[in-house]
Amino acid sequence: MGVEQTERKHLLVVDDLTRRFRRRGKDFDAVSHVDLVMDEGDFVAIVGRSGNGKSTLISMIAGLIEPTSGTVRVDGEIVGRMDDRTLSRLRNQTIGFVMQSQTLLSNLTVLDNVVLPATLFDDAAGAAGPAAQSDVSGGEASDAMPEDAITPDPLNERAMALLERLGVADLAGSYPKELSGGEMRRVSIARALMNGPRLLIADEPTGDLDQESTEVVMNLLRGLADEGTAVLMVTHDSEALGYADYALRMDAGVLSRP
Amino acid sequence: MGRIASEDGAPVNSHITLRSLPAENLRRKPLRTVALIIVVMLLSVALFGGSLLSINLGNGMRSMEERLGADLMVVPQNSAQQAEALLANGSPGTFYFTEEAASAVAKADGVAQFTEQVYISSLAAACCASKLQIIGYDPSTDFVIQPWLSSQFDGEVKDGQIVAGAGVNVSSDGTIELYGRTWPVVAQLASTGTSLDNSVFINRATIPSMVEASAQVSHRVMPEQYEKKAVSAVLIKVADGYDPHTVAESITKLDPSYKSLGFVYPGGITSSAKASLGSLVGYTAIFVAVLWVMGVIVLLVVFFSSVNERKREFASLRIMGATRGMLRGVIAREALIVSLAGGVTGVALASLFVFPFSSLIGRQLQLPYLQAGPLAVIGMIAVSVLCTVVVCMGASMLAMCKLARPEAYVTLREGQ
Amino acid sequence: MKNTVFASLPSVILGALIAIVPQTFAHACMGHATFGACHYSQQAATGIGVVILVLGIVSFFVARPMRVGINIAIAADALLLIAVPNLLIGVCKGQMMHCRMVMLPTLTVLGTLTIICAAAAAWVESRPKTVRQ
Repeated sequence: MGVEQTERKHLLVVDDLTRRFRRRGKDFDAVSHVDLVMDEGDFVAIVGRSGNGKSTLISMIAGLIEPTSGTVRVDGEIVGRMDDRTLSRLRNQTIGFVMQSQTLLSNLTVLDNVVLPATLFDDAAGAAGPAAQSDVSGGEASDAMPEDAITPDPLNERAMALLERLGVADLAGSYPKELSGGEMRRVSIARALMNGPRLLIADEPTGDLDQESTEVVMNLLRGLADEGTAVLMVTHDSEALGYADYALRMDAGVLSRP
Repeated sequence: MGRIASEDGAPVNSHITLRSLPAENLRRKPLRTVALIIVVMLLSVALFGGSLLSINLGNGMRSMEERLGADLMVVPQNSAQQAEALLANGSPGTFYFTEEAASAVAKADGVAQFTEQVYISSLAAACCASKLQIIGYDPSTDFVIQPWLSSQFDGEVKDGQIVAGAGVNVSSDGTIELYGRTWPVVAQLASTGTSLDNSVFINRATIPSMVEASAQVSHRVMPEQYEKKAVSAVLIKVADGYDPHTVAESITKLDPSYKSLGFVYPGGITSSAKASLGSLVGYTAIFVAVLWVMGVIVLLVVFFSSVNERKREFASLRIMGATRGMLRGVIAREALIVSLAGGVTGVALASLFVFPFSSLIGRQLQLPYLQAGPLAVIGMIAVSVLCTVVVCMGASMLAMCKLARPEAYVTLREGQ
Repeated sequence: MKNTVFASLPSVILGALIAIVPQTFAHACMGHATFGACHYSQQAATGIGVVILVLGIVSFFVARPMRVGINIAIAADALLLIAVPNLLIGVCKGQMMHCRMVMLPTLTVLGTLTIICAAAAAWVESRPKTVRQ
């Protein structure tokens, strides 16, 4: 891993990444000298007890937290050096992020929550990656539609297809507060996939899910990886681990192969 | 909001955008939205109503100053109060000198110009008309009424003709009925916001026929022997360097009997009206300022607490790729919608009371009150709405600064 | 239920005010030998107020579409209320008469408020119910 001369080719290169926090006057490394390389189609799971820096690591990969030292490169670009707009565009179009906590917008319906990421940047709608294009037929029928057409909006169509695939299409018109934890989680995954990300980061994607839903979600993630999306998953669900290519262990901020 | 999922949850043909998100946020929190709009509305009511009131009072004051062109009025014994009332709040009155004193006072030291006027109060007409003040002036010496008349009426007021104030009800054939006789109205003056609006002006030569008419319908307003030479007041313009009070004093020295004459100082009436106007406008300004300070504090508190409450929402937007500018846009748009709605409703609500009730307001305040013209009103509307929008947006942007500082994901974890 | 109150209560309150106010502080001019225009405007306003009040009460107990119709009727009544002292019957001509200074603006303001409330109620009640829930 972490071969210097080839890093430009990789989708994700994490190089000697460290994040230091201060707690009760004492410095400690939440993430300590982590190296990680991922390519399209990789499905990597990170396991470890909570408080061991898993969430901090993936937050740094998505550019949500600045590292104390080390770099994260996505598609060859160093995340820490991007300006707000470039970084936001990266989060919007290249990375899909499924948070551990409930992050749906409470004022929007499930459908609108899923559609919203596709409307932030003008070019986002057309730039659907492999995940979205593979299963949405209406995705290509772009802006040729007349104003008064009864034909459904292509973005709504794509979102509906994603919800369908996650088994929550019947909830499209509901508001988040009417949903169970598992349903919200699945809607969050649909939202993360809306722009067809090349790298999907999922923090405990099966956390609130029952056996059946876990299978649906993990099969979907596996399918995405097979279609060429890189999937990075944090979990402590042993059942979910089985779907990944390999698992890494995070222990006191240090990432290692078990 | 046309974008609603149909019955079976299937999507309709338009989708959510970042632009429609603020409206959606407001719609889904109706209580908060309505409360905010009401706060903003109160601000705009206070600003618009208060400033319009002040402008109208100022207009009335200016027009009163212009109309009271004399420095000193000499009136008969015991008539000073009646004369003051006539000038200040327009209660019509009739009074006149019973002796030949009028022209004599003009000989006093310091009198630059003088003219005589006659005041007669009309009867309340049969129905639905109030008493009018009839003012007879002497065109040959007048310096008070004519400059004003000539600005709106070309030519001379001939014998028997009438010029009516703005508040006088002139019938459609251009006449007015006084003492059972119809008189031709040659001009109607623009509103002044003072008692003069409720007056009619006649050439002094018309007075005898007016008195005769009164004798025929009811009681004669003045005895026959006075009707030709009646004088109610001598209006004096003092020479440069003389004080009206000094001139009044020198008048009393002309003849011992003049000590009992009444002296009215229009300047004093104006200045006392000015003083009460000043304090009224001052109180209004303080009231509006206090209300605004309180309103802005309320807005800041609401925006700051809603930022705390909404951290998770904004963090979520950041994670899906919204830039800081987009978040600011969402907040600004929400504030804009709220402040425009509140500002416009406030102006409309204030207008609903200030305009229809303007004559009542004027009477209750006991001050000259002249409604500002449409341009000034439109200007005030623009200023009021603009102020509320600026303050509301400013408060929300201040709150936004707090939101922009900490890193998005950290905020989200705090919110967990 | 909330919508019903919103669509009906303002009409009840405003109708009652329109009926009562001309008979109390916003009365016609006093002391006329014969009744003038203001007196007839006053009586007409009270009558219209009672009609609005009754319509408002009725609208509490009927179906949504009917409430739309009733609110349209209330708005039309309020228009009539404004027209009575301003156009149809009129008030006394004197600028400083009580009826012109108090009754006319009061009725105009009440009428305007009634039109706004009734129009809003008719609009809200005629919208299709959302199926978002």
